[in-house]
Amino acid sequence: MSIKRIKAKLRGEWYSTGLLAVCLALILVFFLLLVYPVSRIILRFNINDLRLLFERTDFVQVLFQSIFLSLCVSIIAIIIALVVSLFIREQNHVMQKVFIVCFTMPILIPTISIGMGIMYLFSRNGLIYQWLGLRINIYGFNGLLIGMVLNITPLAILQIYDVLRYEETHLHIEAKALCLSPLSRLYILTLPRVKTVLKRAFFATFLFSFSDFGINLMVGGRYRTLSLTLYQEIIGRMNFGRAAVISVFMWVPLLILFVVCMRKSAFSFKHNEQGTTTALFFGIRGQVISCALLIIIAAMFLLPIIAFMLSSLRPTDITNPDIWQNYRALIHLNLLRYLRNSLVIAICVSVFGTVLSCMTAYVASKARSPLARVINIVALIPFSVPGLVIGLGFVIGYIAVPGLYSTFIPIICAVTINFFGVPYFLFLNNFALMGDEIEISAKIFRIGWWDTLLRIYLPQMKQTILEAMMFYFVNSMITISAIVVMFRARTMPLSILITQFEGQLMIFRAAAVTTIIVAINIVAKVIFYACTAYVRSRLSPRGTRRAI
Amino acid sequence: MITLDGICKSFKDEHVLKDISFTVNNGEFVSIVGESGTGKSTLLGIILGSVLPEKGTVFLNGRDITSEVIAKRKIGIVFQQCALFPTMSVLDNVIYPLRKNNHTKTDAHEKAMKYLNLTGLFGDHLKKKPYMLSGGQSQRVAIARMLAMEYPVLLLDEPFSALDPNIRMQLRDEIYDIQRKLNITVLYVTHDIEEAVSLSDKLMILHNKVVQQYDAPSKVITHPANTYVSSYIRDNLLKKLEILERLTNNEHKTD
Repeated sequence: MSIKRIKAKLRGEWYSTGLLAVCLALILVFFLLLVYPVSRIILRFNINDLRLLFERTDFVQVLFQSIFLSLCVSIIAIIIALVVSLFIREQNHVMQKVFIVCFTMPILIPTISIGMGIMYLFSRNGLIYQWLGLRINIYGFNGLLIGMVLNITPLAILQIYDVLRYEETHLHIEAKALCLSPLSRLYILTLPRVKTVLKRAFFATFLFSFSDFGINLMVGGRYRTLSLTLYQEIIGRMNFGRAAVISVFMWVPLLILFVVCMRKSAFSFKHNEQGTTTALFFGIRGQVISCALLIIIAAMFLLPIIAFMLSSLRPTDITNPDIWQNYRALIHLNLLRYLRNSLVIAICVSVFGTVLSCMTAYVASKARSPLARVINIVALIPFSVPGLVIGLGFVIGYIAVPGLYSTFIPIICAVTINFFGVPYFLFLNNFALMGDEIEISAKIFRIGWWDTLLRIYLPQMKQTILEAMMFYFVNSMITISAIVVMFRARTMPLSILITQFEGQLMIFRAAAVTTIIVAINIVAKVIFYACTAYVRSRLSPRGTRRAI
Repeated sequence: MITLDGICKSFKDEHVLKDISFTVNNGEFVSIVGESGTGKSTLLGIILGSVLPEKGTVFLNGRDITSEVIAKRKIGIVFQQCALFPTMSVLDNVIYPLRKNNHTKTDAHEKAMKYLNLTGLFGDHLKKKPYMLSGGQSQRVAIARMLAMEYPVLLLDEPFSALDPNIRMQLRDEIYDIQRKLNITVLYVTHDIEEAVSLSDKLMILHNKVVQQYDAPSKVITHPANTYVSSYIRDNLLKKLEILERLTNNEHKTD
């Protein structure tokens, strides 16, 4: 291709220096918030620490235990999620919404609280023993498996259900006319449709179980995992060198799995059809039975959470009969300050994260140039990096910057990058749904990229913007992993208070903190639903629909 | 005048267009027909500037525009999907691009009204959002929006193929009248040879990556350049006419 043509091609894409500036700014942001911290960890990787790690500890066993546990959790979670999503899909419109709300609950809670909930239910003096006399050994592999499945399955349910709800009814009607049995229809029509999302859900569940340490901390017993080892190296021993080595070992399997599961096709989940609520497989009897089964499964998912939250009304100080004593104690402990910190972090992350993911998705989807391709690749990295690793990277990378850690900036940046993946793909999918015609029309009318984004694209994406903000908000409220290594007394959020109470064996106080976090998240969700309903009422029926 | 000289384009090593050369005079209505996948839309993309050719040059009134960006070419396009701005009303869809091109508020409003009226949109329709419009009405807005820019060249990429036959015929006649009235150059991509023959000053038949024939419709029908063109015309146009003739004869016999 001649120089003239290459120039023309570049000019065609970069018709605005403003867009080029945005692209460069994004590259700088990703370098500072992701590439630099992660590369500092990799640079910290030294053979001596590696040798010590292999010599002194049962490291290889821990590595395989982690992988085995995550595989078991992911497989079980995906199977349950698929069945539950199919059952939900068969219910009427109202019941679908009710079940989705129920199954979303565990996502609003820190994982450590789920671990505590399981402990509170199943431990030697737990509620199950007190009520039913059943004694189950939950410390070790069993507890981890139960806790992680309870915690992770909802994530998979939401993803799978969101594809199933858009299943085309007419295909099933035609298949019924061809006398195909429900099982054949499931095999021929439904399963191929969810194949892609199953891959994505498998990766998400594996990543989550592989990198989470909250449940391990509570019910892991002697079954040690890599994430817990990393947590202990950072928090317990402050051994950043060894932590860096473990981080690399944590990151590499996830990166490989990411490449295998999440190739470009795995993200092609666009659909802008209307969701239907016609039962595809069951008659009325089947619907009733599946509804009953869903109630039982939902109860199993909600029981540890509700029981744990109710335990916040049990006295820590048994000489004081006041059922609100845990909450009063929190107020004395300056609860409002931690609450304010949490809200500052969550709000800043929602705004910064939404802007970052939206701009990145816009550049990656609309500006087809070499720089945009670089951004597209870099934007995939946060998907595979666990929160603890990002947190550690920030500590190692920016420890020398004076005064930085007494501000919220590193926490906001780390949390944003940690949860960047999902909103990024949400926006990417939305931009893809809009097609190239609008972009070409805007170019013909000489409407600049900024006006195109601001006046044409964003007004159609209000619902996606709200969803991204909500996602960042809820996750910022509950996250511990990305924050635990870098908070200071001034910047400590509520979620960290849970680990501190756990350390002091004040489980009921931790339950009170969890309840407050859940309450805030529920209020935020209600506001989100109200805003979404308002936006949807103003958006066209053909307007861009939510994608995840 | 648009001139394409030796245009070649391939996607992933597969040739779509090979050595395409032709000229469209100012004020001409040219239809491009051919089977699916023959590169009709790619050809429009090359003229518009959204697709860069590998070889060859595009001239607009003698000026080489091959390496010019879309915005500078002053060529409009109407797609099958309309590409209206979904959150803006019909009127705003036309006014907004004009305002972005330094037209005053009054001027933009006047122009928008003129072209919307020209395409048959009046009164309450102007306040509607795109989702409230029928397919035909959406196409009228898309055409009015492009006409309002007053570009000398308008490309139509199968704009009426998703519409029902009555609306399609109506819009087809209207676009013909508008083209004659405004004396703009129109390049119209369609599958429908009958439509192409009835509208165009010139007809281009694309097949096998090259232009098979580019001439006045009457000449293409009476003097096809090769066997492909003659069979294409026979299969897609003459057979229809034969059926019509047969039906008419039968009716006469019954009478």
